[in-house]
Amino acid sequence: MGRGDKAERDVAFAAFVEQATPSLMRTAWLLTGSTEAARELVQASLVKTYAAWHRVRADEALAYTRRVLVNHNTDTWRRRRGEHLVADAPERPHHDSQRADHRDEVARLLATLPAQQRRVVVLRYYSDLSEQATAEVLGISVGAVKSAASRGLASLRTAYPRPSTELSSPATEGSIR
Amino acid sequence: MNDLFEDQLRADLHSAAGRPAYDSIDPTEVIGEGRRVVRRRHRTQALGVAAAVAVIGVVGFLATDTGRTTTAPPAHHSPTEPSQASVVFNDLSTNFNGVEVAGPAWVRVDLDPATGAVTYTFNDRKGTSTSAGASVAPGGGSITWGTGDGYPNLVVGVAPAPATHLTDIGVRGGTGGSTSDAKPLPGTRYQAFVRLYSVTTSVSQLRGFVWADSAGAIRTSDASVKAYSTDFVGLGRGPSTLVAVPNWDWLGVFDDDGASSVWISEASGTFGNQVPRVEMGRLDGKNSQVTVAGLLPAGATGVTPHYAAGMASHPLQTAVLRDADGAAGHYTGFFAQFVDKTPKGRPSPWLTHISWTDPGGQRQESTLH
Repeated sequence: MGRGDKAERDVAFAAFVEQATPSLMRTAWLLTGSTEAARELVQASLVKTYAAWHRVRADEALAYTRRVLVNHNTDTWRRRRGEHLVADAPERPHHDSQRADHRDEVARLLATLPAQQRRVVVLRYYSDLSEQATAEVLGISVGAVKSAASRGLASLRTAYPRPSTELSSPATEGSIR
Repeated sequence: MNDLFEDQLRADLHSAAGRPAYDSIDPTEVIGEGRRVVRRRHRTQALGVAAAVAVIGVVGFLATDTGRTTTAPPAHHSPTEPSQASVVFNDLSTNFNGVEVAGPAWVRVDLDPATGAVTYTFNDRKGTSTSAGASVAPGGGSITWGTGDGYPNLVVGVAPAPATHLTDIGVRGGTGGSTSDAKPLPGTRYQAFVRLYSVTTSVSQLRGFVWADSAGAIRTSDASVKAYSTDFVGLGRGPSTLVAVPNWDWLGVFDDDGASSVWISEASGTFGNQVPRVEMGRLDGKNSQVTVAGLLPAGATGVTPHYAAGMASHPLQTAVLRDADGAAGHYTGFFAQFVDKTPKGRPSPWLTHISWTDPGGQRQESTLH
């Protein structure tokens, strides 16, 4: 590859970074719960994408990087989780009916889910991927996606500050009284 | 069909993710690091570095406090990572049954690639640093680990970089939890690792480490302790490797199913007169993915499993276990992995009896508890 080709490729990649970073950062934040960790995760994913940029199609670059991001997060989680099984699962946080804001609550509750459920919930309900697409991103079966989504939703539904059946309209913001 | 809760969740996720003030990412920085990755990859390919045979030489076994105390940055300050052969682990903590155990504020591991000298620096949360020394073989392939004075819950070490499934042996499951992390030491064939245990007895029980090298051979941290292994076909993408370390009374399965975690378990029985075996079940939705595996004497044939009442029978794969040099050990391994559709999982034992024909032609049977 000539010097001119490289320069052209880097210009295209730089433009992609600027365009894709906000979306990737939000996904990473939902997966990690920390802006610092999200930034590290996005940066590491973009570096990996750069190394493969010659074979990444422009219209699939965001999806490619998101796949790298989720799987990089998986690797990190696996490494940090260690191998020891624990006798008892940690207690789930108690329902707090005084919590006022769904937006804060959903981030906190998301962090209580097991990692795989968290990834599936984020990809299905934030990234709006189909079950099939989620399975492909995570390298698992559609059945495993359905199972993780079902369990993740059940946990969130139970812990949400107000039973969903009582909600009068979707997508409400602000306080729950 | 979406229900109201799912709609609510979608809206809340979008709203929540849009709130934090994210730092920007500099494309130039990403491109620079990306170029370095590409260069490293090309260099590795050019050198034809592949599947190096690890030579196990345990040296500098226990890192003890050398008494050196250095002036340290404030406790809240993380040191920057030097460019070569140094890594830092920050804010080490672990949680077990709601009890939070904190380690040092940070641990830095420095490796001199030329000499193999290892220096651990522990920084407490008041800003004081202490150092400890150890060493590994400069060319790669050895392991060293230990615990620093004043941190009885922490094990820190250096292991070969290609090692996977690095597993601590001797720690009793169910008595505590642990958090682990590992990072490659740049420019070397080593990685640094830390493990913070929720109880100090885990550290005192620790007998050593076992891992798979780049060629898939199973190694131990003690040159006099052999590991024996063989691969089976499980439900995961890769092979399920049955690993036995008789001197450490340990039997486990290295099984990367591509979705969650490596499975490790202590063996039931001993390597004496019982049939050692591991049974592991993972509830996945309505079904359980069950693994049963264990050891029979060498030369066992006609191996027949007997499962718990109500369970379907699943045939066992059998194979001879070999050491890292390919020499056959004294064991025939058996293995089965299958899906059990019992709601909420079935209590073990799943494999209740096993029978086989010994080399003398006699039929043998063992009850598994």
